[in-house]
Amino acid sequence: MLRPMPSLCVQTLRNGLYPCLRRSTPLNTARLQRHLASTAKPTESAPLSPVDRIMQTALTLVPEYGWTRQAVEEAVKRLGYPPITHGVCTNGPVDLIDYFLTQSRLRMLQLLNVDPSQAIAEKPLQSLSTRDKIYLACKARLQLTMPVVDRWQEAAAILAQPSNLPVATKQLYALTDDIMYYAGDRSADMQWYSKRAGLAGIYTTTEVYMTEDRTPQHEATFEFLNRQLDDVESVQSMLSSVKLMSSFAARSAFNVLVSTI
Amino acid sequence: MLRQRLVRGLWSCSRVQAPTLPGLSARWQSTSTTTESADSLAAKYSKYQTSLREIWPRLNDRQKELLSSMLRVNQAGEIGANYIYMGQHAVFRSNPKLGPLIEHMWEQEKKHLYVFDNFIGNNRVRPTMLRPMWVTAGYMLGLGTALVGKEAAMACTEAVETVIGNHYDDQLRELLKIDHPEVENLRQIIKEFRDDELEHLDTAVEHDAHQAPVYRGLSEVIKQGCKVCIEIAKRV
Repeated sequence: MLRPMPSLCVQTLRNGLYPCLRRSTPLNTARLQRHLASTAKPTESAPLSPVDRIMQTALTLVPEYGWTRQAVEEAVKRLGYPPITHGVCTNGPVDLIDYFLTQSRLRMLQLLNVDPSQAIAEKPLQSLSTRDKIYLACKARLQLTMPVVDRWQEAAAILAQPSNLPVATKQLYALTDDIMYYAGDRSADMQWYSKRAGLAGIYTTTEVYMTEDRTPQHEATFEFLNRQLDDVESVQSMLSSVKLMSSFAARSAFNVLVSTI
Repeated sequence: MLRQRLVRGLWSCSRVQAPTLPGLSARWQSTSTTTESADSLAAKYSKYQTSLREIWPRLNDRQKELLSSMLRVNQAGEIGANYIYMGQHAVFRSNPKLGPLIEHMWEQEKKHLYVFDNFIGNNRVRPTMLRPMWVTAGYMLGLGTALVGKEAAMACTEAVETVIGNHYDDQLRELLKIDHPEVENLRQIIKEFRDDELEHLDTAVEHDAHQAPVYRGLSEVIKQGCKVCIEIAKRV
């Protein structure tokens, strides 16, 4: 991204901006990600890097401009950086969405009093049941989407594009894994997969519901979330009784079979 | 004789329910009568309680991936081993000599699986995705060789434990590169488990593993199969 520019301009940019731009090779998303992960510490007092400042300003402009390059360009203009700096979004809008999702997830963990810098810290949320912890976490995360809820359908459409599938799955995996882990899930068998897949389904449908929800404070959304989580519980108990029934049936069938041999 | 074995094998197959293994959820365990409660298991294996909490944030991406794939493949291997012994046990349960022997080895494999399951759950490692495959493959291998005969069952044990022993040795060498008390702790656990596996190997040889029909071929096929499984388990 920086390569084709005249060297003078590159020099100015490199010296003028934060070390993350002082690179000889073009920024790629992976690097941006790593950088974001390293600067995403919850310490409010530490000065933000230019990338964070640009992205966060751009996010405040999303309701006006949508998930577009214009939002980033406008943010760059307002912060007084050279106009070319909007190139921090190497992949365009999807980088902005990716940034939003990462930040919201970390903020959610902060809201739940979990320290994200410690990847495997073990702090019980509160003395809540697992289901309530999941509900609380989803609610906290959904509330972070509220400021951009009118534009969220556009983001969902962008994330649904096949080329953006890696970003979408990565973010959904990170979110559900965080929620399940901090809700106290320690399963190490196939339930690990089924629980995360189930939660991903519930969360995404609730998010879609929220974009259409016009009730004050999105009350209907949280009721919807509650219902979904209750449904899972009833399905689980139903499945276990079906399992019990079928094992009885299998045994009696086997007994009949053995008696005929 | 064969019909008796077959019926017994099939009978226990119909009773293969996951609850008979440790490391499953409390609700599942409660439906089973044979397993101990989660608390008593935790107390029994408390000396294997260990974590990677301190070292984890200090590892680089490659080391993290290496450690998680190690734990994942160990978990997969122990699942397979558990079900191999379950299959053998189904056939030799009432054999006065082999029954208790297989039970003893199975008991040790249960311990190994419990420890790795716990380790994975507590350290946020993604568990193995092909669990149902390891369960079926392990059970079919154990049951199949046991139905051929006692010697074939022992040859199967010998082949599997040889590969697992070598595999644990590779891991121990790899873990030596990370110097930290927590990793040292993990090494000690793997070391102990490797010794258990090698003990099973010796037991199998003592019980006429080498007298099995087409011993060479059988042993080679199982060994290669195990190696393929290890490579798959490392990745998914």
